[in-house]
Amino acid sequence: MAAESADAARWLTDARRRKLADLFGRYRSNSKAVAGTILIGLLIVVGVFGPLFVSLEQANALDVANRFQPPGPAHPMGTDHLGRDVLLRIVLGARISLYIGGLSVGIATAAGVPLGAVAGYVGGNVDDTIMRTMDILMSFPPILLALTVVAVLGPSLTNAMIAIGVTYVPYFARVTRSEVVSVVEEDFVEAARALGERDSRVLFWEVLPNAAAPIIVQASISLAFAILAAAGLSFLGLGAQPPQPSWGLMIRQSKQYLAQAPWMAIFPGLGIATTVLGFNLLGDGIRDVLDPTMSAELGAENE
Amino acid sequence: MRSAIDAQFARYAARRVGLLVVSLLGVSVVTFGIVNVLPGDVALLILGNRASPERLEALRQSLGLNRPIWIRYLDWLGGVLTGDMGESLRFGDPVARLIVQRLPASAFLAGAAVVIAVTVAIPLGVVAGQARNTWKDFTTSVVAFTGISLPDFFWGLVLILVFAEFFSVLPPSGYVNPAVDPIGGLRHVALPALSLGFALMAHLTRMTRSSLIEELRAGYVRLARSKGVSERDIVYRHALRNAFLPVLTVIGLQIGFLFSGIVIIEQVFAYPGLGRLAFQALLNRDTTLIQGSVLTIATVFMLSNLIVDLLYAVLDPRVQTGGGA
Repeated sequence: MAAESADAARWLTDARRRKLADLFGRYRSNSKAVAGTILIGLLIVVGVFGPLFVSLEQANALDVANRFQPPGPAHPMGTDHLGRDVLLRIVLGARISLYIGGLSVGIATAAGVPLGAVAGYVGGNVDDTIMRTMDILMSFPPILLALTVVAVLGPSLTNAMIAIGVTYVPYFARVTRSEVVSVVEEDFVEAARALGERDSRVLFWEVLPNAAAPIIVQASISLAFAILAAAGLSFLGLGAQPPQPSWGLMIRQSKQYLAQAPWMAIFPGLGIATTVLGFNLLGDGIRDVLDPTMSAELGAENE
Repeated sequence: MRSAIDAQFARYAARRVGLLVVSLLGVSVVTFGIVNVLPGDVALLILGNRASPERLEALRQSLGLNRPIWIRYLDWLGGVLTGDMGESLRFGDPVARLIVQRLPASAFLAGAAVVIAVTVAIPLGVVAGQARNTWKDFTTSVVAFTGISLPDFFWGLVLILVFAEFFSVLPPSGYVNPAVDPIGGLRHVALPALSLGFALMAHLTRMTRSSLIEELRAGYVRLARSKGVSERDIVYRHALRNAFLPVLTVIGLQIGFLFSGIVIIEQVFAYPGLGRLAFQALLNRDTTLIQGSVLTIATVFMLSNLIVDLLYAVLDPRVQTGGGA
């Protein structure tokens, strides 16, 4: 009996290892996933290690005599209307972008996944109440809801992140619910229930891990949207506040000097575009890797 | 058979309209709720810091701010249903009139953006789908990914720089009523519509390409080829028609971003539409105008979604039974 269960356990670990190796193989051969990883890896490296080399004081140091310097040896990305070095601000802006993405998608996941999971698992009136509420939140165009929330909370980067996070809660709730509904039907969930496991344990230990793939994809794609939305709010003056080196705010400040110093807008614009592209590619790639049936169906998209 | 399908469609449509009404009520509650927990005293905002407590209290009385929130909500909702959204605290004009004045400008902008996106994206997607893995396909992909990744306001600034500042061929801001001056209207809407439509165009191009590739693999296409039907007819008369459903889906999914984009793009181009009205109301804490404009934008957004869904149901009857809501 003991030997049998040891065999079973070994078989399970082997199966798991094979599955992981298989996933990794597919990941490596997926050009979108690899390209996305490189771009986001770059962002993380700059965002995490950049501040070790550049201080906020340096990035905000005024040097009016040298304002509007075009890109050159002294200032590879030029200087802005206050003579601040654009490159230094771009480097520190990377950390702000990580913060933006992490906080807003963190909020959306932390609220949306449990709501969707409970709705899908419990069903009935609970499901109806939660999902109709989510439908109502989804009836607002995303930025408009975020704008209204920021207007209530007051303009700041953190408030903008909270607003964007709230806006994306229903998207996570929807994805999670539809996955949970299908996973709950599986035999192993019934087995766990039959063994008398508590519902909360079954939901969080048996059901959710098996519903994770689409949630991860949703998270990656939402990161791209969050960066864009935050840039939009900062551009409107409702997100990051001066002198924070946020990319969206930098573009806002470049508006009046566009003809004179286009580099003030171009480099932060490239920063945003690279990050958004990275998360989009990563999301597409992860979807292909985690869900081979889907990528077979949509095969045309990957070629 | 035909009437059975019609009856089924009618049932589906009725259910969707019912859901819309419920959602609208919910949206009105959320909008009113958010706006009315705004920190700051409206009376203080109108009269300024130097107003005496007595005058503030009198104004609160006359605005009805001392009544319980749910009474004020019902009062407001009753007004909205009869076309009275109150008066703007900032401008003093009726909110409904301000909205009706701005709505056509935004509708024109959104319409122009969709038209540009569709007319560019479908041919691009077809070229890329037919010439898969060639330089044409590659270039299209680069354009599409650029459109998806660039923020719309950044693209707007680039367009202003090139077409308004550098070449001085198009105006950088403002709006001209196209019914009065069609050429002027088009010239003023060109840049904002391009900025707004770029992302939609990018998504549509990718979707057209992948669904066309999918269709070209289908059995009926191989059959048509073996019967000697020209490649042109296959693409334009058969495959593209079937590839249209996923394209419609993309338009449906992107409507929300189009509406979000309107708020930002109207700001960039000082375009006097509904988005700019709502944004200024938010900055001014003009509560009645915020409530009215946000509710209007959300309503138009939901109606557009409804139209896309119904259109989808007409084109693909399976949706009606498959819980497409």
